[in-house]
Amino acid sequence: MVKVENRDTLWLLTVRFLKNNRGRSRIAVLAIVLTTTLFTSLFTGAVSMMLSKLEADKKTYSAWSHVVLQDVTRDEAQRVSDVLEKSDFVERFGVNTFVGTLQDERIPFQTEVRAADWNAASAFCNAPVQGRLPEKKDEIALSSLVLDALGIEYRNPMKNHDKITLTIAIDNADGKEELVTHAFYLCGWWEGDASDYSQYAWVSETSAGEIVPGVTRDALEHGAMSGAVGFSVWYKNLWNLRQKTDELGKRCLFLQTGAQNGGFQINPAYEGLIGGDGMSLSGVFSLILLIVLAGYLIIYNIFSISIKTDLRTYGLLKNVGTTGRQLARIVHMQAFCLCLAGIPAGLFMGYGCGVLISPALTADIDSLGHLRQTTVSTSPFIFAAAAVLALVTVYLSCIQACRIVARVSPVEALCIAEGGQAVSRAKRRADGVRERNMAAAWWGMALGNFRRIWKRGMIVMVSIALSLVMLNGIFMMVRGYDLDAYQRVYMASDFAVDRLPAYAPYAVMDAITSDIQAQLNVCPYAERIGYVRYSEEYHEMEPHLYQVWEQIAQERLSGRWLESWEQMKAENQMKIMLMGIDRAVFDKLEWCGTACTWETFSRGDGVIVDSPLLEVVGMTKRQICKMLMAEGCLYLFGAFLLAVSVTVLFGAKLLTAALGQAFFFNIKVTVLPCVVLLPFLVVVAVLIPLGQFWQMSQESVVERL
Amino acid sequence: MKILKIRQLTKIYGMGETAVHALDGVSFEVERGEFVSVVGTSGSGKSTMLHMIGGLDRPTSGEVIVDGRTLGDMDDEALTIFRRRNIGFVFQQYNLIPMLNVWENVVLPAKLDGRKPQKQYVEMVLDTLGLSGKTANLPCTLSGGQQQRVAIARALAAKPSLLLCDEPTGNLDSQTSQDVLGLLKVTSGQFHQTILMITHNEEIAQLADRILRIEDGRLK
Repeated sequence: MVKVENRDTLWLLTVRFLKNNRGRSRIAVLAIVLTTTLFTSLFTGAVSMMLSKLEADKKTYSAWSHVVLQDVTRDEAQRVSDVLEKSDFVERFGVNTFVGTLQDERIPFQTEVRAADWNAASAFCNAPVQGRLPEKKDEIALSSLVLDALGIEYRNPMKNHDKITLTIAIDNADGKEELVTHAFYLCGWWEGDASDYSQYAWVSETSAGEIVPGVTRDALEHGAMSGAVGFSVWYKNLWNLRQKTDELGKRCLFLQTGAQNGGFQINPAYEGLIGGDGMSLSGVFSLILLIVLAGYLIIYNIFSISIKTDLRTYGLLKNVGTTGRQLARIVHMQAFCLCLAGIPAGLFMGYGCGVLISPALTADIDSLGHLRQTTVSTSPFIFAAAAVLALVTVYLSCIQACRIVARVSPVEALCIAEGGQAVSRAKRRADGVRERNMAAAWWGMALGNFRRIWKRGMIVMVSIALSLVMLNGIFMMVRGYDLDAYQRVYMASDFAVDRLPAYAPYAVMDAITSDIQAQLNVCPYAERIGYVRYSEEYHEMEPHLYQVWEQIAQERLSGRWLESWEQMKAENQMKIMLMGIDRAVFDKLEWCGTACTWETFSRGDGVIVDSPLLEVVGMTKRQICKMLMAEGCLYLFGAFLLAVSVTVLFGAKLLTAALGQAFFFNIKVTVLPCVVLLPFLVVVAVLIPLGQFWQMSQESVVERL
Repeated sequence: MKILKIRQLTKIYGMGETAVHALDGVSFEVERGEFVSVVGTSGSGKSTMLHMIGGLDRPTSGEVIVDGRTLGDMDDEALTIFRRRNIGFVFQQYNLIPMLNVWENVVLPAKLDGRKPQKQYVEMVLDTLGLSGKTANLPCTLSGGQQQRVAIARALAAKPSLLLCDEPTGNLDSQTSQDVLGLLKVTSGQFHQTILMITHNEEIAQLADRILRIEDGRLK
């Protein structure tokens, strides 16, 4: 086939079609704006949820790199370094050597002493913001918290510091702890984070080598830690995280991935990026499909109406030699122009909506009840994905329209021209008769019209219904964030004093000393003070509790959690966190079933079992107008009933699947938004047909022909 | 030289008992530059025949050969391209593209074909048809006679092998009809254009070089 250069002509026709159908084009642009807005806000919300979870998890695991390798000897470290340098999928890596822990009465928290390069310090999120990492053997870089604890003035850069004398506890190969004292000059510092499970002190590699000459594989396997080398590795991208890590393990001669195997360990923050209590991948896909479907139906309707209205013109174009392929291109180009107008506006609005809803979506707590900080993503991926999906939706929506115009028969176009005239003539002749016959049956006509074109009617109803369902869904989602539930559980008090870092195994259980308690007890502004005491115990499972746990495990656990449960069953030992509470805390408890009194509880033979938080979670103009209004209302009420049914039957399930099951996400099924919107929609359903009829009646019969 | 050959052209609508024979074994030929009228009553099959000849519709059986090419051998895409290059149409309803102005309507077939319109030739045609001052007008701003002249100009601008006219004066008053027919006759001679015109009006048919009569789908 000879390819002809006729783009300009097709563009001319495209632009003229759009200009000729300004009203329809505006509605189509609005539909595209709406669809793009939904996609963008969905992606902004989803990516923000993922990033917020990622940031929180990185903090929890104190690891900012993609993969870590711990506890290798210096010889092994050399081999690993060589492999990492040669691996093309590795972007960068950091090396650290564990020296020991600081022993100083003034420092009330664990502080690890390590030698680290910049990448390693960054991997712990403890790289100096002032000064630099140590280079000489008597240099040290410390976190602000350690410096504050030591009482050292460090914020004035002009001040010359004296040497800081520090004692380091070293884990020797024989398992004994050795204390060594060294004096260092401060060469850098950074703001320490109190919620980190440990603070850090960086020393130079030379210094580390002097303090801890080295560690053997055998010593490492017998619990020695000092001298162990660790790696923090970043890949060029996050694709195939496990395969790459397995590959690294093979190349470094570690057989398996995972800490327990002594191999590379994927940062759990990256491994658990999708899933958990947050937005699930299947949920996101469900929402994408729902938006594609809603957008498709709306845009499809607009295109279908537009194409069918212009079918005669398309037929005439075919008469004069426009091929089906060229006609389809004209429709595609119209769609593209509408996208050019609609998508940027939709991206802008959608991002705004996404930023607004992100705090509600990301509101979650870490393992200790600290509110997660919301990280709103500005990733270009959001805009690219939303734009591409909006384009795909528009493309899908106009496939049928393209097919219709490509197949339009030239003779059909002639028939439309002649037939239209014939119908009009017939209409004029019959006007007088029909006026009498239809006077009482305009609603019957509307019903008849619906019966005649019920397929198209259903598509219109489903598209309106889907939009209403989405509106209900958004309302339910925003309302679902149950602050009361959150407050009941995590904000029973105005202040909580604890020394629990984000990572529970490193909790300092005796943080509230008797001195602190004495001070708290006399606090003049405190209305009431309650204490919670923790203790970790292993408990042999009672038969009835075993049954309850077994049922919960089978219903709710999977993967490694289920494996852990199986192990617990085999050992018949359940790890229990015992909490001792006083009256003030007891009074804040919410009871399931019969409430326990303080007197009964304080007798000492009562234990409250915290059940898992289950899912809370031709006629006269007047007659024509009446008929058109009735038809519009018929579609609207059909759509309304459909939307109410879908919302009631599937709304909660869909939202739960999409947004997870956080206990403070209390989904209440409501159809209030579409009920509130109904009067406005009725006005629209009445005004649009009336407007169209008015516009049509402005033209004379001859013009209409 | 024969520009058009029709052989045993048959078109049947519907099937079985409800089958309607719109055309029943029609055969004839037209010489290059000839002006032929086809006369018949309403429902005689003349429009159906014109649609078959113009490649707008496909016959049930028989052959249409235009300028040596058999239309039945072409797929829809090829037929459309052949139509825009070789066949011009003038319909009773004018069938101009409403959103294009006179000039754009006239040069559209050539531009769709990726060709640059022959400006001088198009201007001469428009001048001959009395449309020189109307090139920027949209069809809706023109009278019926003017619109029909634009349709003729569009049909001639592509220099088609065959010009098919379906009741070209059906919507026009008698004076305008005379003007349009006169123009068709002039263009036939001036541009040596082959014209096949369908009409039910004997008087109009008399303008042609030859008259074919069709009744119940058969040539008489």
